[in-house]
Amino acid sequence: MTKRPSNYIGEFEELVLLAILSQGDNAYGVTIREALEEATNRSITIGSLYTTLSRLADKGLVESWVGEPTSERGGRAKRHYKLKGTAQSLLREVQLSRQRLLSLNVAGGL
Amino acid sequence: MKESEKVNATRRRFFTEFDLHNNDAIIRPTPSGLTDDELDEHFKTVAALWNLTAKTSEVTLPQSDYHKAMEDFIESLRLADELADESDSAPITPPLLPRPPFNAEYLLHIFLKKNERDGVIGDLVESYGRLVCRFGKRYADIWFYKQVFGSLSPLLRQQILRIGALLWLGRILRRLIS
Repeated sequence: MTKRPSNYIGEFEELVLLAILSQGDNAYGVTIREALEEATNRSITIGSLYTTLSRLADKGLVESWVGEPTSERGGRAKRHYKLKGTAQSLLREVQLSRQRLLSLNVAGGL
Repeated sequence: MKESEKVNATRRRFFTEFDLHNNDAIIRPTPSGLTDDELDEHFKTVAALWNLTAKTSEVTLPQSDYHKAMEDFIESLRLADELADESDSAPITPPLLPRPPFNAEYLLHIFLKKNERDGVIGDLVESYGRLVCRFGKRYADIWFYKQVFGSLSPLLRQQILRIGALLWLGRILRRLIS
């Protein structure tokens, strides 16, 4: 059964989606976490990242596959992530909503 | 392995032919299906041809030269074989990877789902290795513990939510059935 993509994402989920997008074909736990830490300037635990990734997969926004095991990971395989088309359109929608809301900010509070 | 057997094994792999045009020996892979006697005969013929060329051509090729060259060649192949044997028999030692604290890794192993273990622990081990190289083992150990303990609460919450959702579904189903 294919899961229907959710049209609601939280702030951290949005950041994770953008981090995956920024890493292209090399998006896996380490690179996603590093991209997030660099962009947000805050420490991110691998557990919180993976629970978010698992939630995003449940929502049908990301797909994952297991790569080849490598020696530097103690013989463990990488899990690569990729955005689904629905996630990309959802991200665009979120950005548009933000821009609309910002344009309403007449007083220039930001 | 005896010396003669080694030479024979080398002859089975490398075949010397005599190039009449260039008065030179050519080395090729030995064709399959030749008996030991046939191989011996072949090498004798090559040696005879070499000697004949030496006699008829203006180039001075003393008889011993060919034999010496062949012996040197076979000796070098034998040494190469020995070296290859040694490297084959030597135990392959994997590069020593810095190991993260086992108890922390085990703790994570318990809380993770089977299909998530490789990804999560592998990511931590990879980052841990980089940190050991950059800042040393002590710093990397502290970082690893922080990561593990920081990861437990979201992982635990996720498990509780899953169990809660299942219990809630079970309760609804029971109500519907009754």
